[in-house]
Amino acid sequence: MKKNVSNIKSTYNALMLLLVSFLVGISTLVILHLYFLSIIEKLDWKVINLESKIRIGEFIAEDIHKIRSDFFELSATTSNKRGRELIQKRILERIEVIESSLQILKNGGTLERVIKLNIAGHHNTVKIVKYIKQNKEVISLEVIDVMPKLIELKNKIEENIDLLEKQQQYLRMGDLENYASVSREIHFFNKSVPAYFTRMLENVRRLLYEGEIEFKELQAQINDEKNYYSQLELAIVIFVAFIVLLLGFIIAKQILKSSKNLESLNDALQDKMQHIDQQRQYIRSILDAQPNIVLLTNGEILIDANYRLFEFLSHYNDLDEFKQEHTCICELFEPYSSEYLIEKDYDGKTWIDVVLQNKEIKHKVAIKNSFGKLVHFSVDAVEATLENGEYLIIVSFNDISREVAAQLELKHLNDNLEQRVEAKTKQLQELNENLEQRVIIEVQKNRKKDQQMIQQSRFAALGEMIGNIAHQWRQPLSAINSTASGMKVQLELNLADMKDIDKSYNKIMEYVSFLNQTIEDFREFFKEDKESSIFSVNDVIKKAVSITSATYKDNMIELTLDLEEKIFSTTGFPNELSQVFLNILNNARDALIQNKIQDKKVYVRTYNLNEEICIEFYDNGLGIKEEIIDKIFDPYFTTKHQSQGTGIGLYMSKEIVEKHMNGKISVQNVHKDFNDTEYNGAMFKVILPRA
Amino acid sequence: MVNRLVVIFLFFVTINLQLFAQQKPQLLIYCGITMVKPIKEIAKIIEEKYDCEIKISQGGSKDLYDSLKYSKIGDLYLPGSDSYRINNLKDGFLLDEAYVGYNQAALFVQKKNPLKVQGIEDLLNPNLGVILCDPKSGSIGKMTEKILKNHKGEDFFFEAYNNVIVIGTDSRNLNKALIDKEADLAINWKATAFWPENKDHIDIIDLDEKIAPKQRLVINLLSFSKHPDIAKAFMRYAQSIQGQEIMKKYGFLD
Repeated sequence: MKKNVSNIKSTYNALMLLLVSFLVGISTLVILHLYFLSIIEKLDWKVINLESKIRIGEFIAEDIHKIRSDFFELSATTSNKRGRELIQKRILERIEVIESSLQILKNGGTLERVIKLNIAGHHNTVKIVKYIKQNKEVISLEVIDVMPKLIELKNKIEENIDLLEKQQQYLRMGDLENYASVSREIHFFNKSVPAYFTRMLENVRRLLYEGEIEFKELQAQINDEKNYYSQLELAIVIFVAFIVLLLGFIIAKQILKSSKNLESLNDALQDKMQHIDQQRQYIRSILDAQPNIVLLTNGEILIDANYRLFEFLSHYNDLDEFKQEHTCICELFEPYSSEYLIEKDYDGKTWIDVVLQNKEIKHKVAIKNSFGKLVHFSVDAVEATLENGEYLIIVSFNDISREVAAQLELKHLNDNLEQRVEAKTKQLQELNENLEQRVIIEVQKNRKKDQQMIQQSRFAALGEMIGNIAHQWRQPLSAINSTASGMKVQLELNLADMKDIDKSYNKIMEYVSFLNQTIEDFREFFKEDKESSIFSVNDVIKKAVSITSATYKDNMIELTLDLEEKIFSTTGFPNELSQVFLNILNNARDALIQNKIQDKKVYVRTYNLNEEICIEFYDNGLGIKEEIIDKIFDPYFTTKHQSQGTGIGLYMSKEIVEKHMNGKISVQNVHKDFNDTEYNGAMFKVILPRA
Repeated sequence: MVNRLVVIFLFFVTINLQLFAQQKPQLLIYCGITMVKPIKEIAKIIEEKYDCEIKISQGGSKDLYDSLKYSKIGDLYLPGSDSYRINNLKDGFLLDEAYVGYNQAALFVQKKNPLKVQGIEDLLNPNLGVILCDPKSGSIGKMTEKILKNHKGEDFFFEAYNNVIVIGTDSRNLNKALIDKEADLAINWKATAFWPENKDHIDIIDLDEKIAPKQRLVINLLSFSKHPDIAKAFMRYAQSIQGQEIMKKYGFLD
């Protein structure tokens, strides 16, 4: 929603920007165009003014030509004073006209030029030329050049008239010499006059020439200005069009985006409406599915009720019908007992206030249904405030008629309760007594079973032992045999003396002693530990190793002992522990043989760890399969052939270590270095507490 | 938005500044028509250096003096001869002077002298088209008068002028008449004969310096100059090595 509002805002901003850009663009164009028009108008005016200037120049040139003509008329045709005065007057008038024209060129003004016509009714026409001198500081060379010449012209007329009169005078007087001299002067004068007029005309023509140049420049300037402003206008139009298009594109995009957002919002709204509708249906279904009667009220008006109400009060079809007769359900509450709520004033509170403010109490009401049957209800109420701020109280009426009936029944039963309790107590006592005996019997049975298992284990160990004894005895018996046989041969050949016999005897006795010791060892092993004692773990290991040494040797198993010299003593049953070690050693041997290991190795290590003794048995018999490693301490679990294993050796070992010695036994597969070669095998670890 | 308006405002300001830029200082030089070429060249340099505009009024030296005297406008005056300074100093319009070169007159004839003009005496030859400058207009006219009178007095002067087909107004008119074959013989300033537009059409016959002495060219500062600093700078430049080089290029210095 926020996103959509932001979109609408940015669209609005973009629209405003578009409008402003458009207005600014148009205003700029209009201003620029007006500005351009004013410049062009000024330039046009300049053109017109320049044309006026040129026109005035043309008038002056025309006047100079006329004066020149007059001048020659004066020299050539006049023969009396009157005639000369008339021409002089005409020339002076023309000079005045030129002077006034030059003044207009210098300071600006309007030139009125009368042009004579030879048309009936039209003697002349007037040409008006208006010239404005914009900057009077600008030097007018034509004025500067021509004005002095006009002054000179006046002098020349005087000079010319003077010479002509002198010539006439000398002629009348018959003074031919002076006449000739004056005539030569007049001749020279007339010869120099054309140059004089030429100079003057050149000056005026310069005015015309410069005017034309200026005119061309002005035209070029106008063209330049037109081009410049046309390009400028075009650039502004393109720029404004680009901005408008760009903004239009952005706006269109934003509108599209907003439209999509609105569509998605609309979809979301429809989904939500559907969802709300569904929820309403769910709520209605939930309300109607309630086994109890549920009412919704705001504390004053009944707002809604579930179907159960109209099931209970079946003479009403719906809430409207109910509300036509009742404003509150409390009108139907029956005064069953003092515990029951009824429609009354509870110290300024209504029954619903009482329910809401005392939720820990089980409130009850009794209402008769449409058939007049009194039904008991427990009443619960909870308050709720909806998202729109609407306050609701949800009142639930649970049918407790059965409970009420049961309570009545219970009350009835309570009267005979003591007698029944006594009888039951007696029964229980009897049962208790039997129970103790049964427990003792079961414990005894278990103990027997344990003993049997231990015994079974011992027998299994015995079997192993016998094998071990056989191995132990084989070598000394063979030695005794060979010694005795040797002695016999020596005696028969009479080779032996007493010393040899004595030596052989001693040897045989040593072997016998060894056999005896072996028997003692085995006997000791089978001796049942009556009492717990403190002993060295190393000693027990050595004893177990001693028992298995022969079989290990026979099977070429290299046994390495790495025993902590200062190993802690432990408390327990050494023979039982010896049985554990023996079991582990025998299992190691069997695994090595079974897996046909070439370089068979067993490594036994003891060490102290904190306040405990650790005993580790490593072998390189490839280890125990992961899938069975967790089961090997289970009873009757064996990996050996049935003829070889009973499956209770390790179970008993665990029992002995953990129950009799308070220790722990575990197994894991390890990689172990034996003489810089890594082997895979199993590692049994026994941890015993320090004594 | 504000930035955009500022840009538009600056745009208009720039246009206005361009259109209504302040007018540059304007100088007016009255220059004898013979010396217009080098003076224009120097003027261009000064215009760039001092950001000013220099107008040149060209014509005959006397006409120019009449103009400046009448208008009392202008900054510098360069006549074809220093006699105009000497004769007009009394008016008080001419202040500082700067010598920039000299003018010397000679006889001008058609290229390769097809009519075999011998000397100054040929000015009286009625079979030749002679053109001489008005003594009351340009400096060469005044010089011509002086030469003719120096040569054989006033009669020779009148006779010569009596023989001309037309009287010219300045040195340029004289050369034009020769180039257009309207005239065969003239007296003009020697320097102009060597200019590119003239040299293919005109040959000269030197005159004895006794009758045709060299005329000093001096630029005169005018008393009513509105820009005397720039005018003086112009004079200094004309006298400088660079200025002298320019004058030399047009034949006003050896």
